[in-house]
Amino acid sequence: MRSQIYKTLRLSTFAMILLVLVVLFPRDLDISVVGFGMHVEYHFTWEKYAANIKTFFNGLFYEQTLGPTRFVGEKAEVAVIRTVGNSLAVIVTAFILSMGLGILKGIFDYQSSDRKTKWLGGMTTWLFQSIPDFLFILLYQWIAIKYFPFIRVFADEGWQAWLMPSLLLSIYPTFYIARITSASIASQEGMLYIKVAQAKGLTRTRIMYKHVLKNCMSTILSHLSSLFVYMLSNLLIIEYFMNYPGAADRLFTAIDYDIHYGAGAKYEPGVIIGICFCFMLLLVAAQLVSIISKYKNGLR
Amino acid sequence: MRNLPLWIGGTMLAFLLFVMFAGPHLPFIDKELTPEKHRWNADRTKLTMPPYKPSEKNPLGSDKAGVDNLSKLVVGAKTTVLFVLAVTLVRYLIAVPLGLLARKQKGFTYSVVTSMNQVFSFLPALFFAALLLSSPWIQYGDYRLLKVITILALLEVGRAAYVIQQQTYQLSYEPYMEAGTSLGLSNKRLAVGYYWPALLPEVLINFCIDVGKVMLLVGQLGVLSIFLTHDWVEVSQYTMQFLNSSTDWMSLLGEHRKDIMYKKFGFIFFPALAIMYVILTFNILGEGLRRYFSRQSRVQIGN
Repeated sequence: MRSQIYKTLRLSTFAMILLVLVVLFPRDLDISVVGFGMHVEYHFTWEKYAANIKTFFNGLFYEQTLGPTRFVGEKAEVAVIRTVGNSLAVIVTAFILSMGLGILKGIFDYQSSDRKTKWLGGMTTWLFQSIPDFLFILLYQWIAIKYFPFIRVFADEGWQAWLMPSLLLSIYPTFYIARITSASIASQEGMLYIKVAQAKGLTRTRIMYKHVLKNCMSTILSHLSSLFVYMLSNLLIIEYFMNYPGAADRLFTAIDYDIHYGAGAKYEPGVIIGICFCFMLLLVAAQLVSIISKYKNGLR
Repeated sequence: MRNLPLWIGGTMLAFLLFVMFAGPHLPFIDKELTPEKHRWNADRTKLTMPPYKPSEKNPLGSDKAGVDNLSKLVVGAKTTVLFVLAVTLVRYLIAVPLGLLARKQKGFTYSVVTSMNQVFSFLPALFFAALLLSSPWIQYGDYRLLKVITILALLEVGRAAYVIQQQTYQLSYEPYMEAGTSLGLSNKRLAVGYYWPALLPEVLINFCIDVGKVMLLVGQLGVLSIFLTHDWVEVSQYTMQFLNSSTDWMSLLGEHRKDIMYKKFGFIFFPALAIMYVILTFNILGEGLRRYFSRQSRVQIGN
């Protein structure tokens, strides 16, 4: 287990370095007026690349800053901390919500697998996973704007701004966790400890929640990292559509993809690196939990 | 009809192929996507300007230039699906040899495969794709489409190769594999004659699931207005703009996204639904293939 943890840390450091190198790749264009039209050329030079890297690390080590942002007077690290805080509120709420609902749905799926309501379990899980996230958000916005005008769809502060993205973000993880839960409960079927508990006369509910679920937890947690990767890419789409001032949306703004020149002049490498670093920390933590719970699972 | 998912998936795929190749030639589809600038009513007393509301002539309405939306959707199907298939194909063309080379679970290729798998799992593919595809090297260079396909394929090649590597590693301990090795067969012969036939079912299933994933990723990129092919043209005096030059569904999504700000939901659902249809088709097909192959192997063992 220890070697795996070291490997994860090593590879994440490598990934971070790779990312910094990609982000600092020069993007400035040579725009000029030739005749009666605009003319754009892009020339890559190693000098520019080296200068970018030097400026960034100079700022990082000597001035303890990630660099400027597009807004005068705002440092990149301030923007990163603010937006990541906003996003974390949504991610944590969505995660807790989906853990609770997902496990309950997983138990329901398992228990109804021999009843007539079977299609409600497996089928829905499966169908929901095929629906693109943007379709969900579009549907939600359409319904909310048309029939529930009191919901502030594009709110950027207050409880509505935070609650709605959390609910939307929790949809996919709920179904994902439900699938893993029902599968891992099914794999516990007929185990000796369950028979012992039944022989002791414990109720079905008590066996399920106190014994079986406890054993399933490590299997569920071992899928944490792939769940978080999905949640983050979902987050970008949700924040983009909902106008939520979160980190994923800020990251996309910082890339400054515009339709006029493609690579905009307001590209903010500091913000991108900072936000990616925070996301990566989150994913590394999730991977470590995955590794530890896999190891525990193996021990059993 | 024992394998329902395979039948449903096959039928859905057949319909998709029909729309892709025969769709543009259907009588109610305008293959050229000609804009209709204005429209008179029957006795030429009233003039209507586009966008036209859904009617008999335009089942899904039309856009601001008067181009029929249904035609756009049908004509775009071929480009979209072929693009997604190309990305997935390139991914597996790289992943399968990598996975085969790394079958011993040690050595250089193995470490390349595992590190690629892990490094790209620290950030969602969407972030990487947005970051890389917006770089001017790709925006302004030649062969943009080829570069985009390669980058999207490479983003998750590690994951695909890792899955294949795990299977080849397991296969290499099968008795018939050891027989092949002890016969002194060359690596090439082992790969083509021994590994590949055993790998094929899983590769096909994973390919189908990956098509769904690529479709989702590309759709998300379209939502963010990162188009796959575009032209850089002057739209106003000294004002240049990237105009999307293809009719794929992703660009339809990107173009119509701002409609929701004006409470104009309508057409934007259709490209999104079309994308969902593709994802669903390939997911169901993958599940059907899984059942088909697992039944086949059970039959073989039974004999």
